Amino acid sequence: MSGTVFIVDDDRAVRHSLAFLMKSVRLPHECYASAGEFLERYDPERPGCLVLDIRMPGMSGLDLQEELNRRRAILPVIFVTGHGDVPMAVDAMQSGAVDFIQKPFRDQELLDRIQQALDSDGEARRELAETEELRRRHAALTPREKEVMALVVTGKPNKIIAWELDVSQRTVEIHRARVMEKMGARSLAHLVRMDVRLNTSDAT
Amino acid sequence: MAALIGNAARGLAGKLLAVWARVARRPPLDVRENGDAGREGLLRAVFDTVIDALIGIDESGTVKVFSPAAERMFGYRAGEIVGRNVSLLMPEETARHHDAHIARYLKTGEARIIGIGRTVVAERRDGSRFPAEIAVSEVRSTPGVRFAGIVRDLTRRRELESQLDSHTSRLEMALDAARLIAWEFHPRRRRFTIVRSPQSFASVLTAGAEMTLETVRGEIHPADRKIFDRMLSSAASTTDMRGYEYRNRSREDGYRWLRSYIRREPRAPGLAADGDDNGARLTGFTVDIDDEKQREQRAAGLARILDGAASEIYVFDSETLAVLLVNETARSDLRYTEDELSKLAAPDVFADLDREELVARSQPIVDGSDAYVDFEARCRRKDGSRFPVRVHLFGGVYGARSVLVASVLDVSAEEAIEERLRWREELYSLTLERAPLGIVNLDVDGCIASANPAVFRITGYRETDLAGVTGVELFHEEDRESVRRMFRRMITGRAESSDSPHRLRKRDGTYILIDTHSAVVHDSAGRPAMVICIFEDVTERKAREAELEEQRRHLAHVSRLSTLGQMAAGLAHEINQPLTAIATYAQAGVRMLDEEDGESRRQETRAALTQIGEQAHRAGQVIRRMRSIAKGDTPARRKASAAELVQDLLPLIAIDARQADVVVRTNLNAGGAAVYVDRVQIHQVLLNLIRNAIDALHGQPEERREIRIELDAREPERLRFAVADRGEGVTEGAAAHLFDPFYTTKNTGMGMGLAISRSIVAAHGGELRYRPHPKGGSVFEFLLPVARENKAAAAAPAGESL
Repeated sequence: MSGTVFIVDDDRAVRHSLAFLMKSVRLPHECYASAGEFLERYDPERPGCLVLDIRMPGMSGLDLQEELNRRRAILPVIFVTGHGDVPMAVDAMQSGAVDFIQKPFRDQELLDRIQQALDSDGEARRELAETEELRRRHAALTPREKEVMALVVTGKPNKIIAWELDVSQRTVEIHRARVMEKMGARSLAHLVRMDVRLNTSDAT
Repeated sequence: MAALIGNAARGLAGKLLAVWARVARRPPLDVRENGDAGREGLLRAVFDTVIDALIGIDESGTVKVFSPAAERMFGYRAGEIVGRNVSLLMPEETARHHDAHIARYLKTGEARIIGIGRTVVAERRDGSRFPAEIAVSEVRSTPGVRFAGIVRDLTRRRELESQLDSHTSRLEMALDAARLIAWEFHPRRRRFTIVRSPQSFASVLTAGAEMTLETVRGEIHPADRKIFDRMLSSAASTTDMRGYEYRNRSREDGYRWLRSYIRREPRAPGLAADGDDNGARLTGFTVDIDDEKQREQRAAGLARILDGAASEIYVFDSETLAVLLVNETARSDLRYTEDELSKLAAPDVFADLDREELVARSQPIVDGSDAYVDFEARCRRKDGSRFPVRVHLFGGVYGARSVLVASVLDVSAEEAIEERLRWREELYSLTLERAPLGIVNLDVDGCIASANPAVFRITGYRETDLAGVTGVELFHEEDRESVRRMFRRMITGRAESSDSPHRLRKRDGTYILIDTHSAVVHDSAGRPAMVICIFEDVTERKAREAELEEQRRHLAHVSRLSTLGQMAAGLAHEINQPLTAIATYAQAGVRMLDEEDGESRRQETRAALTQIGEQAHRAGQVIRRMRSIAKGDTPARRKASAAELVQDLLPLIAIDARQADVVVRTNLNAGGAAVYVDRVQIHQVLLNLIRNAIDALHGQPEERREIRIELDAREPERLRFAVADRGEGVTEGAAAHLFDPFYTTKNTGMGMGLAISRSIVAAHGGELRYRPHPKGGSVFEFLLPVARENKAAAAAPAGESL
């Protein structure tokens, strides 16, 4: 696991104590005193999670979350809130925050959530990477192979596909074999799942 | 006359004698029958009636003819004297020589009287003598008569002459007295000739002296020379005498007034123009009228003075009481015209006195028993209105009339003053009697000289209790020294008045708190003579004030709590932060200790523990600050650094500011200046202003979300605290009510913040004000007096006066 915990809090003491906690469990972490500072340095490719104070002067935690959404950054966000900030935290959750935790908190609680966040980020990034691979493979198909694949995943037999494409059944078989090979599909069921994934990622 | 006698002497006597001798022998009837005889008869009649006597004598001096006039003149009958010597008609001394005179004439022909005539003394039959003029002529026509004489009695003439002499001398004296100079002016020669000059002028102007026109004119006052010129030019054309007045240089003192009359001398009829004068001679005389003029001017001046006099002056006829004269003041006071006044009488002027009364009043003057009487009356104006006057009435003479003179003084102003004085006295005594305030007069020794009823009512003392008691003794033992000091300062003139509260012992031994206001009363020499001390029982009022102060304090406290309530979220956050850090450090520290290579983590754990301590302290500070705002029900003023007052507050403000995303900037230029304040209360004011400013910035663009807190000493001895924001500002309508209790423009809040803030600042001797920010927004500011070095020791803490 190579995710980094990004800590953004304007309160120096809170920031440092969080850093100290990360250190104690040997989690890689980076500290930022404001949302602006973080945005300036953050590379979306870097995995990890964000521990974010909701109330901050200048750009608030919610503003930062919105900005990340706009940039399609998938970094999971854990909001750290004061007692009076619960309504804000609800807003944050609706905007896709992974979690929120109320100050002061038990360390295990925070660490668990960080762990979950990091896991989910890893998962998300892995899935994202797979989808990217599928897309890359799919993009490598010839137009005829894409047509054949689109018909194959609907469960139609080769005979029907040949008839619909107005080619010989043999030709369909050859294309089908190449699609399976290029896409790295182990079975028709596998290919269908790939197709579903391609379509859903297009939709987002 | 002399000429007539002369003519008679030359022959008339002889002719007359001849006529008379003839007619004397005839009866009177014959005169009518014959022409000659008629003429002679007439002559005879003349002789009988003329006053001159005709006497004829012969060579021996014997009287032959003695006319009727002679009979009357000498007192002899003709029969008695004819045939006797004429010397009978002469006094003894002349008679002796008469015969000798005739004899010598007849011998020598040397006439001494004949044809000459002379004045002689004659003697009447009764021996009396009289002056007579006698003309003698030699007669040859009448037989028996050698000499004829006409005698005229000069007695009457002598009398007239002597009368004339005395008249003349009296006239001369009058002219002299009038200082009259008679002169002639010859226009051609342009010269004056003095014809006569009074004795007093004789040394200067002798009769016959001549002067040129220029000399005479040069003596005349330059301003009057035109008058003089006009006199000369007009005189040439008229024979009327007119007087011209001008000033002439005087030997002694400047100028004297002269009056000159001049006229052209009428040309004597038939008189030939004799060369030089040519008939155009002007004659004139000049009178010195300086005294008259001065009298006149004095009279005019007197009249002016009378007219200008503040009092009215009336002259009444003492019998009819009619108005004869009034001065200008009287006319204007009564508003009558002079004409209308002349028709009035004294009873019209004095409204409240009828004729009878006035006559009675003036009686002592009229009968001479008193020189004057004084009385008061009321004058009536033309419009019927009246005014009070004081009248001084005395007698006098005006022309031929005896009059009453009234000098009348309008005393309405005096009366008004008296009325006011009376009113004031009444007011004063009423005030003393009825005032709820105790009023005590203390003499210079501090003894109670007098006290009003309120004093007894308030203190319970009786009049006898206070007699001779010094005022100081009535005060609480602890207050006596300050009362004594205050009294001494006033009575020695070092203080004019004094206001202060003190405790006064009542008769029952309890104490009341009184506010005293004292003032010094000075005698006419300006020395302090008395101290008047007014006091009020303020025991209840002070208690009420204390209660009110307590309520105000409570309200301020409630307001602070309310403020804290509104700040609770921020405060919670502020405390949560260190708590979070503490918890995190502590838990992480435990983790560190669980690590196998504890030794290498030792340093880190120590750092965590240090942080925990610091953060706990931080949380404690926040709570302390909150507590200092929340409590504060035991107010106490102390000297405090103004800059620190603001700085203390900054961490607390920072919470709200951070949450509202507002920048707080300070500009504290007060140096080390201190103010004498209740720290908690001033904190409350500042906190209130700053929180208002933060609220005002809600929804403003980021560049405007800034608050400035300023502290400076723009005015000497005063420090200015200001909180400025760049928000919406306050509308004019709202500005008028900003400091009203329960006025608020916010959705939350009591609307008490500014009202309480203002009362706190006022209690500190300042004023909280609002003004619009020049660039948009609001500025709230207040000034507090700079604390002096010894202020803390000298002044009693506010609200602890009881």
